[in-house]
Amino acid sequence: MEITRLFLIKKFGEYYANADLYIPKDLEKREFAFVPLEQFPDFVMHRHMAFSSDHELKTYLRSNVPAHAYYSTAYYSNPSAEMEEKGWMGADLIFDIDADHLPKRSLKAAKIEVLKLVKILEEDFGVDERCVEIVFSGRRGYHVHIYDERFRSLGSAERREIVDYLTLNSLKNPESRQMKRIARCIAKYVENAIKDGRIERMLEKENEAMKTILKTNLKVIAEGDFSLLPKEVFDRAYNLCLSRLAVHVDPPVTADIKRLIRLPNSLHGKTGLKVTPIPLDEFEDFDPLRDAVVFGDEMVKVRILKRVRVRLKGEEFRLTPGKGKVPEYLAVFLICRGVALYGH
Amino acid sequence: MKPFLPILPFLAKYPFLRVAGRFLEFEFGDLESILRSDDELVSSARELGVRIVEATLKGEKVPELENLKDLKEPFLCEECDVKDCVGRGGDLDRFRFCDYPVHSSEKYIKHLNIAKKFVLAYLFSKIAVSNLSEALRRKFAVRMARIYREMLEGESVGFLKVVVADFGINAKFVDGIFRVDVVDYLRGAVRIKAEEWKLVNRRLERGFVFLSKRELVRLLEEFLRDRLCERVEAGLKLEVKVEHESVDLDVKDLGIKAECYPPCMKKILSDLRNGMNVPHSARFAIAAFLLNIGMSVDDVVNVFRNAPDFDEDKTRYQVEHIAGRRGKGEEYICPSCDTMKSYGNCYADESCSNIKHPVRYYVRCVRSHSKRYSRE
Repeated sequence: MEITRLFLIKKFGEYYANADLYIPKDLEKREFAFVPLEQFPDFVMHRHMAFSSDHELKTYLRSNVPAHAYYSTAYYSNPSAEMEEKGWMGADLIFDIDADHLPKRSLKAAKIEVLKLVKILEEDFGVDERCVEIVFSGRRGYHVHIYDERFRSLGSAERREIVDYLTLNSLKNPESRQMKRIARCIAKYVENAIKDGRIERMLEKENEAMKTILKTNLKVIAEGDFSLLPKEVFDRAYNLCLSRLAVHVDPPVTADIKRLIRLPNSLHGKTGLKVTPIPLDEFEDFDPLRDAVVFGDEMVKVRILKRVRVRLKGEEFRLTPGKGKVPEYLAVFLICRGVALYGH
Repeated sequence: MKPFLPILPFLAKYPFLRVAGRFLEFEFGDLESILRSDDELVSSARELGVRIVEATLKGEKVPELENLKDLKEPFLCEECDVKDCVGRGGDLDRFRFCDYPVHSSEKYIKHLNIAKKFVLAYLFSKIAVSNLSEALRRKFAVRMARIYREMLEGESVGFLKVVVADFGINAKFVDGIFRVDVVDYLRGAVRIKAEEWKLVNRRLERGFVFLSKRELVRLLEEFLRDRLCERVEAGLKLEVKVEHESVDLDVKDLGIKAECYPPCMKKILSDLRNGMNVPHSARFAIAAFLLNIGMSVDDVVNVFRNAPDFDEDKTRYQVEHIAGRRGKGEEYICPSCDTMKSYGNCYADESCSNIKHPVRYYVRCVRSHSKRYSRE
C-alpha cells in the first residue's frame, strides 16, 4: 500500500503543480476542507480551514496534496472558527444531481436532469444563465452552482420550497405553472396513446365512445381539466408526466445552507477524475469519462485485485486479477476505486 | 408645502411604516426629545400605546383603533400631477416634499393631529412590548398584524405599492395582478402553512410570483409580524399588566409509548429493524424524534443496531450531538411534517390530519389515550 500511496501522491501532486485552480467567489469568506492523500485509503477530513488569497490556497494544495478537496457553499465572517462561531452570512444556491438517485441510473440521465433544471431556473426563477455553473462531480453526477446574489440570504425552509417546486412535491393548484406543464404532458400522452392503440389496453373494456370523447377533448385536457379521463388512464399519465417533468435533485443538498461541496478543478479521490466545470454551451457534448480524464497514456505496472469492466477515454477495458500494464489514467482510476495496487 | 399630506391618514392607520419614523423625526426631532416632552399629546399617546398592548394581549378591542377603520381617505398621490416630490426624495422621503395644490388647511391640520397621536401611540406600544417575553411579543405581533391586514385589504393598489416598497419587497403591478420577486415571496410564504402557498402551487414566471391583491396583503401580514415583534431600545420601561403565561406541559414527561409514534417514525423504525439501508435524513429524524420525546441516548443508539453499516462509536457520537451533549449544547428538534415530506420520509395516513409536526402527533395521541383511560 505504501508505494501505491506514494504513486498517487506523485500523480495528484503533478496535477496540482500545473492545474488551473478554481477560486470560489469571496474566497476569504469560505471554509475549506481536505482529505489528505497521506492517509490513503483512509478517509480523514480536515475541516475549518480558511485562506486569505489565491496564492495561499495554491501553496497549500501543492504541499498537502489532497485526495478530496471541498469548500463551503456558505459565506462566513470567520470561516476557520468552530461551526457555532463561524458567523453565517449567506450561501450560494446549489443543486446536486446524482445518477444513483435517478429513475434511470446513468450519467446520461443525469445530464438530461441538469438541462431540465437550467431551463426551469431560467424560465421560472429568472436566473440569468451567466450565474449558472455546471460542474461534473468527479464521479456519478453534476453539481449546479447558482451565483445569483438574490438567493444568497435564503434560509433552509425557503430553499426546500425551491426543491419542492422542482420535484413537484405537493403539487395541487391547477393554476400553477407546473400543473399547466403536467396538463400539456397528459394531453400529449393521451393523444399518442390513441394514435398507437395503447389506450385500448388501458381502458377496461372495448370503448369506442370513450376514445372519441378523449380525442375531441384533448384541448380541454391540455388546459388542466382532467374530469373526462378515466381513473386508470389518468393515474398512468399523471405519474408518468410527474416523473418526466420533475427535476430529480437531491433535496438535502440544496436545503443545507452550510454544505461543503467539491472544489471545481480538484481531483475526486475515488476516481482520479477532475471535478470539471463545464460551460453551458459545451455541456451537450461533454463526456465525463473522456473530458474529465487528466492523466497521461504512459504504461504503468499494476496489480489488479478484482475483475472489472471500465470505459474510459472512449476505450473499453476488461481486466482480470493479476499483474498487468495499463495506461496511467486507467491505473489512477483503478487504484482510486480500490481495485488495483501500484507496481508488480 | 404640506409635508406628509397624502400619507397622513395612512400613518394613523399604519404607523408601522418606516415613513412614520421620518414623520416623527420631522415633527418632534429625535426619540430623546419625544420621551422628554411633557406635551399633552405625548402623554395621552403614551397612555393609548400601553392600553393597545394590554387590550391586544387580552384579546379585547381598542375603540380608538376600531374608529380608524372608518377613516377612508383616497391616496392623493394616485391623482396628483405635480410629482415634484419624486425628484427630491426616494420612496421614504418624498412625502415630506408634498406640494399638492387643492387641499384645505383645516383638513390638513386635522389629519396631522390624528397621525401624530397614532404614530406616537405606536411608538409607545413598541417600547412597552420590548420588555415582554418573546412569546408575548409574538402574540402581540400576530394579533396586531391581523388587524392591519384586515384594514389593508380595503386600500387602493397605489397605497399598497407604498407598503410593499416600505418592506423592501420587489414587486410590480401588471394587468390587475401583483408580481412579487420570488425571493421576497419565499421569505414570507414559507411561514404560511396552507398548501396553496407552496411555491409549487404558484404561477412563477421569470423570477416573479403572481399574487392577487388579497394574497399580497396576506403575504405582507407575515412581514408585518416580524416588524411588530422587533424590540426598540429606548431606555424607558413602560409597565404592562398581563396575565401569567400558561406553561406548556413538557413533552419529555409523557413517557415513551411506542403505539403513539406517527406513521413516518414507525416506518423508519421498521426499516431499521429489518436491516434496510435508511437514508441519512430519516436517521436524523428518528433520532431527534425519540430524543425529543424523552428517550435516553443509549436506547436511541440501540435503535440503529440492525442497520447494515452500524458502528456503535459513530452512532453514539452522532446521537449525542443531536441530543445536544456535544457541539452547541442544544438538542436538535425533529424535522416538521413539511420537511419529512420534502425528503420523501412522510407516510401520512388519516391519523395525521391537522398535524404539522411528528412530536405534536405523539403528544396528541398520548393525551387522548390518557384521557380515555382516566374516564374508564
